[in-house]
Amino acid sequence: MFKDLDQLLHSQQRLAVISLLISVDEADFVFLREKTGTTAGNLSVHIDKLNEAGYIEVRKFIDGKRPRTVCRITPAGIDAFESYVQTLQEYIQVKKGGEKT
Amino acid sequence: MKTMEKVFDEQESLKLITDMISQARERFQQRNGNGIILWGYSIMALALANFVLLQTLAGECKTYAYMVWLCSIPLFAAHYIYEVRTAKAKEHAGNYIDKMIGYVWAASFVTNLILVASVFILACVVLREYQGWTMFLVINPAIMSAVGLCLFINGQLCRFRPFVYGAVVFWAGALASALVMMVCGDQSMQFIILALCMILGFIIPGHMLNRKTGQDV
Repeated sequence: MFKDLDQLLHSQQRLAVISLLISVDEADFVFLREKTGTTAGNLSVHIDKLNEAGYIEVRKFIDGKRPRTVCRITPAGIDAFESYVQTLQEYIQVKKGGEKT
Repeated sequence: MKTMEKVFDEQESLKLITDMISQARERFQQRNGNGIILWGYSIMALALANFVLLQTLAGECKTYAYMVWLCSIPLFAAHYIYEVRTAKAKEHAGNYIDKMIGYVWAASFVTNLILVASVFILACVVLREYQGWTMFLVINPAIMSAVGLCLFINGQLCRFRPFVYGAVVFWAGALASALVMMVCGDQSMQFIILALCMILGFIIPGHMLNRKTGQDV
């Protein structure tokens, strides 16, 4: 039997955030908002959820005059993402096998 | 606040991951060559100024020709301010490769600084009585080799071939700088070689990179 897909990651916005963060060292809120095409409010909620799960680290600080939020994926987040992708691949392989038989 | 959670299947999930990773990579490819162009023109100008001064000044005054390199200090400060300002203006997403490239250039800068300081100590203090000035002939080839190394790593990391060719130009230039004394017996020719290397290794590849990414100084 397959492991269930990580429900925290199996959400369009959160998966998009994690996929972006896996490719960069760190990224700020504006970058994530533009790339995911979501609203600031929505993105905040998803970032909080990922942060609470320990998948990302969030740093909030004042840069000059404007507040900035910078996110970085944690080792736990990398493990969760890799495990998610592996489970996804297993699902796809089994689905393909099922279609053949 | 309640968020909209879209249910999506495994195919959509994989597509989303691929799209996001390629978007992050796209941003990484949008680097510009302004910094390298700035250094290219500046060092070329300083090298030519050094050459002209060596040709025009006479006797003991020739030593002052090398003072032009002190201009590289405010240049370094200007470049640093430019980098900090543009980094602030841009959206922030630090890339591992950008960081690596930065570290390589910073390490090379420190290495070159130590090299120049060591040459000065050896030439002016330790070997003063034994034609210590000949130590200065090592500076150009050594720095050019180090710049070649940085350009090569930079070119390979960001997959931009003109930087790799630029590295080859610098390595050839370093060798030529060492041989030039043997051929024409004139140290000032080292600065003409340096200026040529700056054009071929920094300025042209820098403009090519800007043309590729649609930016220009």
